[in-house]
Amino acid sequence: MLRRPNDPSLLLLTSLASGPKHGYALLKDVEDFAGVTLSPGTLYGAITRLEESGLIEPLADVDRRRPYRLTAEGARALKEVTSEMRRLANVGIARLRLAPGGAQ
Amino acid sequence: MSPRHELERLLRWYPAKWRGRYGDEFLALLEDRLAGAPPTLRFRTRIAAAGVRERAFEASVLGNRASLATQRRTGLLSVLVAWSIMVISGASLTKMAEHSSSAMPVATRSVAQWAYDATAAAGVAGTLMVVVGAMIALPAFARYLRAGGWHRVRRACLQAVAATAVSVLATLGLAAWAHHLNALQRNGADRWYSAAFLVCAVLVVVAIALWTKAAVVTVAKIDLSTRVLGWESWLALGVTTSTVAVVVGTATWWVQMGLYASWFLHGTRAGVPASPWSDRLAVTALLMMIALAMALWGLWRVALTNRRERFGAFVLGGQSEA
Repeated sequence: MLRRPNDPSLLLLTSLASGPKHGYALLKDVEDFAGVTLSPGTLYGAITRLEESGLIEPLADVDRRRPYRLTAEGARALKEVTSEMRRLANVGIARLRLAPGGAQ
Repeated sequence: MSPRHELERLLRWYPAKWRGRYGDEFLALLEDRLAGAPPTLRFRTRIAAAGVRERAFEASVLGNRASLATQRRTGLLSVLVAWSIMVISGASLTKMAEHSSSAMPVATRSVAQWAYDATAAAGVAGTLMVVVGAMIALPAFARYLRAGGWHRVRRACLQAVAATAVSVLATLGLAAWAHHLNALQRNGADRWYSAAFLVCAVLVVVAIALWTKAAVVTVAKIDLSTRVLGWESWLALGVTTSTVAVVVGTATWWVQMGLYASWFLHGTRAGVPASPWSDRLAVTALLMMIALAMALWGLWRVALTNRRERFGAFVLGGQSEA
């Protein structure tokens, strides 16, 4: 889980970092901040796996729409992964600057 | 059919346990997503694919939810199911390849003959390994029966035995009939015989499928020791290697026949130019490719669980699963 920046699980954790959301709100939010349109099947596959791993938890449903929120473990996992991604991105950017004809 | 009812039908692709937990909220999401529009074919296909994937997770064919032993067992069973498909497609190839060597020009016969012989040898080797694998698991099966487990596997086993009895009787009847026919009649001129042959073939396929089902049901319940699972893992490697050999041998044989005796693939007169493409052979090859994919998947699963068991799930957890 959580290996690629466009991994559905990572996108959901990122979305839930701003507060609890139900399925449709998650789809819309991921579309907005990542430009990725998840199918309902992919979304619920990721929700299932994240809930099983204890990274998210369900709240009481409202009119059949059940919101989910990050658990403490989920927040920790998201922090670790994004820190690692930032470190790699920084290395990439720094090396591009050093490369001949690289970005300034 | 109402849109709601249509969406509920789509949910049937998912396992019952999953539907019980997520079904209602998932339906609400689908309704929100569609906003009253009918689901397109692409939409349905993606839901169906996600449902099948969820079933694969539940059966521990995918994911790390189940214990390592269960994951390894699932991998081994994937290889077994793959071999059953291979046996069925191999039988189809054998029937098609009857007398093929005499159809080839003498100068080019050896490669096709070698390919066919290698395919047959790999088929025999793979089947022997499956039999050995079954025998290794027999003591655990006997222990399970002694502990009163028969009623849990009875149905699957009796179905397989019944299907085998019917297919053996049908094959014996067909063989007796064949003695009264000439070669031409046996090879398609007698339509009734051809139809009976087809029925027999279907019965044999059903019997193989039911034995495979019985094996899957049984192996999922019996307690196999780590040592036995280790031996089974090596046999799975052997069976998968046989699967690869059968696929390579069949492809080589097909290419040779297509180049030098394509007429044989269509049953036309010797020397008459014909396409190397054969629908029946293509279906057989497709089945073999499915079997190969399943065997490789199963073997990968077995290898992964063996590594995890040896080095610990924690070390490899991040590398193995997305």
